[in-house]
Amino acid sequence: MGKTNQNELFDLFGALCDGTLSPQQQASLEESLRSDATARQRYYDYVDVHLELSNLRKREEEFQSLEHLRDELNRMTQGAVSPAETKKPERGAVGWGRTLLSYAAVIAASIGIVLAVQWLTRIDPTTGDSRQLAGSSAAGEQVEYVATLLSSANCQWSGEVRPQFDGQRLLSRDLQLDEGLAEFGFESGVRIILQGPARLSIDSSGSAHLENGRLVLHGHDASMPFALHTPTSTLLDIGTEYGASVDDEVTEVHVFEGEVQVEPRGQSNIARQHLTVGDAVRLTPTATQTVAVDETRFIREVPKPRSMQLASDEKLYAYEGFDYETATLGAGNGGFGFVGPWRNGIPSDPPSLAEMVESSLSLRDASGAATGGAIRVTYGKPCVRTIERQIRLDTDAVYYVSYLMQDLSDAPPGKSQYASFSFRTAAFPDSSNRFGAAITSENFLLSFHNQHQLIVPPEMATGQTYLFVIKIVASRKDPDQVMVRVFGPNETVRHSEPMAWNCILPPVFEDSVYDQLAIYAADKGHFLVDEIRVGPTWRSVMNTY
Amino acid sequence: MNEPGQEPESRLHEIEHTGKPQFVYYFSRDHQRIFAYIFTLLPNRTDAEDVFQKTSLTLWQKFDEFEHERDFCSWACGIAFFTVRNFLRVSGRHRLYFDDDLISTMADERVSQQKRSDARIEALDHCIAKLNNADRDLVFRAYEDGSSIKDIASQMGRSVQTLYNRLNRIRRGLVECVDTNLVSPGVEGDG
Repeated sequence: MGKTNQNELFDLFGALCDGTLSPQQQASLEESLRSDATARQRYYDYVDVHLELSNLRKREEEFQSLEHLRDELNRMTQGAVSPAETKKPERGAVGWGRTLLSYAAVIAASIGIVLAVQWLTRIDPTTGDSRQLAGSSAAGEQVEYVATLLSSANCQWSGEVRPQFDGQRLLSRDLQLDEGLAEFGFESGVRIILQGPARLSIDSSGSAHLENGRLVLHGHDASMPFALHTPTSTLLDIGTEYGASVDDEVTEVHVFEGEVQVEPRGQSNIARQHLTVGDAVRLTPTATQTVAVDETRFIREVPKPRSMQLASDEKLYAYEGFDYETATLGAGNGGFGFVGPWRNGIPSDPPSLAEMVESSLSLRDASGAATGGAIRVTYGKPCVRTIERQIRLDTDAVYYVSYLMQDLSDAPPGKSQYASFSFRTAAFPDSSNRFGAAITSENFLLSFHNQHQLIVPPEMATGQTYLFVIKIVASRKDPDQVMVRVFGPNETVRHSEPMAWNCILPPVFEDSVYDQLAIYAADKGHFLVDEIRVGPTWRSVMNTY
Repeated sequence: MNEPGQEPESRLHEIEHTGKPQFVYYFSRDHQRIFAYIFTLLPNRTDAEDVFQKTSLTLWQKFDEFEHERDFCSWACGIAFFTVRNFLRVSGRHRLYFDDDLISTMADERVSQQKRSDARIEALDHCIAKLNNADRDLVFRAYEDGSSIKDIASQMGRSVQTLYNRLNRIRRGLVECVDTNLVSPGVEGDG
């Protein structure tokens, strides 16, 4: 291809992409492409550039959209505007550059999935892993919760943001604890026990500012160092448990386990130093003084309940143990906390066709206090029932749901043999809003909340009973979030909520009210379900395991 | 005839069918490649979008037939090819299109050169990042919905042809930048 020809060729490519190609130019271009493989190669290269430039606008808008979302969240969490002034984030306008994504979204919407979500989080069906896409994590983190209030004791909060219940998810924000003990679990794996009175500002899953008061930080070897900033220093834990206190401009650090790196901060003139177990120092803006380590100054753990005995405010909202002496579930109306009997689809449908089995499911031999039998769910025989205490995402609350499920599907690989346990709104099927968990045909855990779906391990064995726990964190102003934990027979069920969940779905802004519990199996699916519990705390739905 | 109450479950079944999350994964990964393939054969924006939408729905409907050991993008492009051909047959050729032989040739080459295309697009990011502000501004304006080159030219006090020429120069510069990057990535990377 000569130089002149190449110039002409690029002019033709340009006219083609700009829609200004004349019939004569079309003929010339077609002849070049037909006769010259190199010209075709250049054409493919030019088209790729043209389409990528289209995406340039898309990338910019998506970034701006996420920035906007972060700003909105910051405004709301900092109380800069009243709730009436706040509005939930909207996606940016769709330009030509976004057309591809918008078409993908049209396709996706028709199947109940929004691909914009998939742009942030992809599922690899070959491994079941979910992962952040390159380039999305920095922006994506802006809208993520960074910590959970794991437990608390006698807490009195003040200030603009006041955690209301254990299990509450937290965005980055300032917390003023006037009295009591609060245990925070960060997404990075670090735990902090905050001892009131104290003021802590959570920056991210990996850093916080202690402005005054005391805390104990529990790090671990596998995590990146957590940066705790004080007025005079930054403390970096290295597989550590340490206590820190801040009183005006004086910081004290007492190392109980592991090591702590102390870095000077602000106008501080203190030297960088490395503390090991048994070391303690007092840091002022101008000097470092060694002091005796004193464990008694710090409360290292929030007292945990010694048993699963429930407090008076931890009663179950709903329970179904399938204690029916019938061949099918039919219009079973047992348990408590429900409105009306089981149905075969929606509340106006006939009674459920699901079969009853005599034996209850149990996670382990002699574990649990299962009563009655269980239900056998197969395709065409779903079970739907209305719960009395609605799961409201338009308020500040946390809900827990637990149930036992066993997969008995034995169809050959490749056949659809799937079952889901979900909550829908009363507007179903006109509304596709829902959340829940499922066992996929490949026996992985599928968790879903509206458009978000994630497939993750564990791979569950056929014929084995598993305990599922779904946590729903509802928020009036902040995003709502669904988390799922699955226990196998060899796992210990603890008295308090764990830090680790099998699946934490992305936060979603919505105000739906869920009251339809639906259990459903696909084509060749064959599942047993038992011991359904809905309650306000971890212990309320887990105290029998 | 469905039994009462069966219809919602059928819909739920479709939504929750276990293969569909896999479809979403493959489709979200490859949809831009599929669109590029279609646009290569049918380089008219509106028509390519139309065919892409039809292709996407066909892929969704036929996903149960997809053999997972195959490459999804190749399978999808095969369906896109027939969708393009069908589109050309029924569209009455009221626009300028490539002839059937050329389309077939390019369809084969485009699929077989996917890896090359992927490598070039990856290198292209670096070249796009090096665009100067004026060129980037023009690209943003030109590729934004609702802004015609005529409008942009009027706003900028330039002739329409001048802007077309500039856009072509930018695209050509990027093609050649990628050539350079792929030949000597260290030199470009250090630049």
